[in-house]
Amino acid sequence: MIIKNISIENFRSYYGSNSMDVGEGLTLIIGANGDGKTTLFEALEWLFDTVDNKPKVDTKYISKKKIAEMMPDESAVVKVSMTYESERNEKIVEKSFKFTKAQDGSVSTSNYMHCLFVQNGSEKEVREGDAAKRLFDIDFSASIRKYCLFKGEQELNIFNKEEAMSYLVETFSKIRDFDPYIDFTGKTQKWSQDAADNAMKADRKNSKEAERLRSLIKNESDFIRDRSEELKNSQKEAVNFATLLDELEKNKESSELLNSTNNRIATLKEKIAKAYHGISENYTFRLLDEMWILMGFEPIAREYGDMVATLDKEQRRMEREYQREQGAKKMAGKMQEEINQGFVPLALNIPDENTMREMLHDEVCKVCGTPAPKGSAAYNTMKKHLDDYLASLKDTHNNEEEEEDTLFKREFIRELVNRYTVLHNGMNWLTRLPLIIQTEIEKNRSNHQIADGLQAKLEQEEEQKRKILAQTDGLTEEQLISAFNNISEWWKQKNNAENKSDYLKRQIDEHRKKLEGYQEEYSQISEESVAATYARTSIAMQRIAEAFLSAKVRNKREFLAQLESTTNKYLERLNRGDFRGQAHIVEKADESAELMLIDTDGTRIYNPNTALKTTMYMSLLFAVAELTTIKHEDDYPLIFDAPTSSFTAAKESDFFGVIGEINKQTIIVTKSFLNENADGSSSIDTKRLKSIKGKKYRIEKKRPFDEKNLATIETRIEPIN
Amino acid sequence: MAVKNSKFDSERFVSLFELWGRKNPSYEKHYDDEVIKKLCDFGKGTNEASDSKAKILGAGYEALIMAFFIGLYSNKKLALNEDLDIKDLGQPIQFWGNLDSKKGRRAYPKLREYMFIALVAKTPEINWYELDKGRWTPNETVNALMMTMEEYINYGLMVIKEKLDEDESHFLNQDAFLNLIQSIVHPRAKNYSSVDQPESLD
Repeated sequence: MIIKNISIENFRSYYGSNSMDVGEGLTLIIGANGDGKTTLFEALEWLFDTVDNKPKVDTKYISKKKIAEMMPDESAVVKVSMTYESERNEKIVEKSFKFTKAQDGSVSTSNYMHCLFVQNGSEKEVREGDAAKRLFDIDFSASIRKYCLFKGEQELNIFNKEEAMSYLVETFSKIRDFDPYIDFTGKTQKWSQDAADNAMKADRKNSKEAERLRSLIKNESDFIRDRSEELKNSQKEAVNFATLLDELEKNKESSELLNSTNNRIATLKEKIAKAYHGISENYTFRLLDEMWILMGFEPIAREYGDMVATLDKEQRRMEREYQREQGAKKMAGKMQEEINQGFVPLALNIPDENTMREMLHDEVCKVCGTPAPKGSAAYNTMKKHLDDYLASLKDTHNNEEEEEDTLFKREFIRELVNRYTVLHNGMNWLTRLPLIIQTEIEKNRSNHQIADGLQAKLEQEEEQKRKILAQTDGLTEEQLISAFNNISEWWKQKNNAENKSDYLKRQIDEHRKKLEGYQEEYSQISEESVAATYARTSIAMQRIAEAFLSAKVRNKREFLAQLESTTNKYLERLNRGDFRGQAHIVEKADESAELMLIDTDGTRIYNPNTALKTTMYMSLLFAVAELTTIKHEDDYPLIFDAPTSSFTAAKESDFFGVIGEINKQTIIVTKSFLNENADGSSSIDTKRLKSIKGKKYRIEKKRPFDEKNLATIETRIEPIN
Repeated sequence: MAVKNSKFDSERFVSLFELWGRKNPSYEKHYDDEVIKKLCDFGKGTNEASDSKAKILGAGYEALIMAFFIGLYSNKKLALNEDLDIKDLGQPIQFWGNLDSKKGRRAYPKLREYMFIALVAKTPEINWYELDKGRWTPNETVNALMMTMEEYINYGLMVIKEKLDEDESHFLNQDAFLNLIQSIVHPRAKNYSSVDQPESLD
């Protein structure tokens, strides 16, 4: 939205009709004290409805001069209107009311009108009352209007109010875009959960287990909800005490001692966190999750190994015996000789075919390490072994009947043997396990010692800091001790609240894990059933909802980072050649945020001068406006009343110079650029004003006037060329 | 002897491990209140749920695993008292240790294989030859394995209960189970960990 023109009629000092065209960049309205600067601003506030509880109609709005001039029973109009362009349409928003002078000189009001005129082709459509309000809201939303009119420098700090920052984020970041998705996935999760519950109830076989898990899931969900509420409170409490201590710290910013203590505290905290990070003492979980519980398993594994080896060997012996007894034709005949030798031969596939071929090729029995030259008994035995093996393969394929004729019809011993082969690979780990556990415990113990040592140092430093904070010039020893006690108490409360928050966070985390576990278990009941599918859908939906939530948080951070960097861009421009520090937006635990100035070393600048503070807030406003423009693809103006009262003349010139260059509709009402004349009047400093781009107006009381009579006051608006 | 593929190619071969995995071990019901509910999130009532006490173990079967290894390493089996109420856990062994979705925890399905191996080694009653000959059923075999398992668990639960009777918060120490297992495996060795302070519950 771009303002094209502002017209004011009979509004307080604006006697008769007054009008000014507004430029697309900077419009400077210059006036001395009492010339009607604030009245102009108030006229806009009335038009925009930005001040709560401001009466729609008030005789105070009426020009005293006009009333004085009017004859009894004569009527006139108070009117403020604004012509603006929105989406390439020119519109006029207008507020007005009629006033009538009675015989006794009193004034009555009537016919309050709030209109919006839209140029539609050659026709001009009019909307009135609520319709006008609604249409105007679309072009220039009520919430944005709140952040476009600023009176004085004091009002600029509105962004440090909690609701302002969340409003900013909500309105201008994309986080709201996530809400429908979070809402949808939340609902879908609930639907699928309900469907799963119903289906599960119908599944009689598993209903008991399902009921148990449902109750656990409910308990965990309730627990998490309650603790989250508690967490919010203790985080708020921590922020409150931190703010108190922060305030104290403000007054000590110059203290070198405090700074160095703070630095040491920060370093120590970092080191402590690192030491704690290296500690993993969930030994009970590690017994299971990392299978430490197998620390005594090695002898059992060996016992098993021996047992299955014996079983395997004995089974093979029995099989052969059986075959022999059955007089099994081919196989038994072949084996007869071996069995007669009085030992159990190896299975035909041991060693395997490739190894056998290799041994024959190398003429060495690699089983016993003896040379077996071609033609020797050993060579012939190996050759026969391989031939028998190859023949057995053929037999397997050709003679099914023979297969049936075995002693052992099942292969469970083979299952045990196979299992041992897998176990054997892990034997090395089983042997080393006690040492692995010992090493882990030692590592934890040493990290503990490091952390404890650092913790003690940290406590000393914090004690030192409390002492520094308590020291204020001119305090008696007694007062000093009392101040120190106060601070210590706050400190304690803050730490307690922080510790509680940490504890709650951990607890919530733990229970969330449990909850997820139960949900997973729930979905695993009756794996193939419809209920399980619903339950899995429900979990999937919940994960998606969580993903959206975390994307929302990330998006908020990104928005704040973007806002911060854009703010700094403006801060640099508005303070060219001057100290400016850096604007930093800090997100607090209670979800509010604070805009502050920081030094290059990251320390906070507590008491910046007013001009710097003003430019910081203005930079944020420009940044917000810039981001809004991107989001809404529409612009809105910023209107300031006397924002530069604390600026030096030079800074002011620079400031307006920069604003003139920024591609942003800005209307500033100011008393700058005026030189006071000997007769009390003032004149424009045209030389200074010349370098500033934009439209410029002078507002001035029409002379002469009676200093004691308001009815002689009339403001005139004159363009400055 | 000929090298053969499975003799039962036409049927699906169901391994003993798989059969065993479908079972639910039984235990004496009084351990629900005396041990399992104290250590696990198992079957928590509404009142207890609002209790801020953290449980040292997750699912109910984790208490049974602990008890099993205590019995195994102690080499002590204790028959279930048939005069008492007996119940089963309602969570087949095949699901034990599968839940890697729990944050901060890791799945440990492989532990089941070691438990199976231990049961095979420690159940001498099984005549494996008769099983492979087809004269024993796989189910009878698995039942024998289960009996060993339940008796180890029963002994372990008794040990845990005694510890809890002495001090209800005994196992809140992260090293309590570690030290207990260690003291059984190496009775004369010093404890692994000597952190005595229980975790703060403030």
